Amino acid sequence: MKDVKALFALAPTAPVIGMAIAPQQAATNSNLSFLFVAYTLTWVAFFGYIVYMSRKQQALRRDIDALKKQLEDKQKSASLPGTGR
Amino acid sequence: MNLSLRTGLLGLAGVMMLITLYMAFLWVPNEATMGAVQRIMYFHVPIAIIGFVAAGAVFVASIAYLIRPSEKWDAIAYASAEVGVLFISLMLLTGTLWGKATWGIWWDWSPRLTTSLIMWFLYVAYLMLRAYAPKGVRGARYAAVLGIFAMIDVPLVYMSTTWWRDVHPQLLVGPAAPEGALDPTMRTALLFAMLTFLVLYIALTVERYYLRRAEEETERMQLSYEGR
Repeated sequence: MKDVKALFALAPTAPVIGMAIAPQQAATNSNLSFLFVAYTLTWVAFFGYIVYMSRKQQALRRDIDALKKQLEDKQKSASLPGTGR
Repeated sequence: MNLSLRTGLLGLAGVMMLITLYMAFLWVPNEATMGAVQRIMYFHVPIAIIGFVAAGAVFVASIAYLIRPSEKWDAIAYASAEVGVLFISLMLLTGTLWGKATWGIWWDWSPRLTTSLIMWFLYVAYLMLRAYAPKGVRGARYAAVLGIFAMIDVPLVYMSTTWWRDVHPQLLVGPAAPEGALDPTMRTALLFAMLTFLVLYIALTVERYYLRRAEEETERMQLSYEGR
């Protein structure tokens, strides 16, 4: 964390006109935990969504395989002599 | 769209995300008044804008569905709404973190924040409608109507800081943003971040679209197998 703080301290500053609240120089190293949480949260959410979709896909594949098997069994039993309808 | 292209799109989003992180943390200067925490902007603002894009896609696909009902339009609207809810949720969460860091409060019932929360409720309601409404054409038609109605809130969210007094920062990007609202370096980083999230949104929506189509197809096969 100390290294990150040093990094920001070295960076030049530029004002965001639409955002400037007060003309004073900000404590550039303050509130880094909020920054960390915001970026982490975003990454976790997107990864989580990708995992959710891939799990859904796996479940769907299982359903399709089960359906195929049921269909094959049905066809087999229908083609057996004496059981065909 | 074939599988390798879809995977490539997701990979491209990943590479662009790394460049965005580099730009947001190492390339752009520190903001003069807020300091390092202002770097939340490089995620918060693009996520919000892409949330609007997702809402727009739901709107267009819903109109297209009502004009010419097809499962394709319905699946596009559904996929975009689901991915859109993810973006809008992140917009609210990153916004509250930024708010707490700069204003000292988690939430304020200002026009921008309130209309954003309404937007979130509308698209969550859309997904709930999809989950609980009757399956098939009737449910899709109800959802299309809600998908069109929900779009009314999007321009309100975007213009809220211009139309009403608001604690939220003024517009930084887009057609209504004032000239020179942002430092050129910050602007470049922000625009690149927007492009990154746009690619990510397209990649996720395309994946969800194909998954939705496969779900519908499997459901249909199951029903026909069971003879219903």
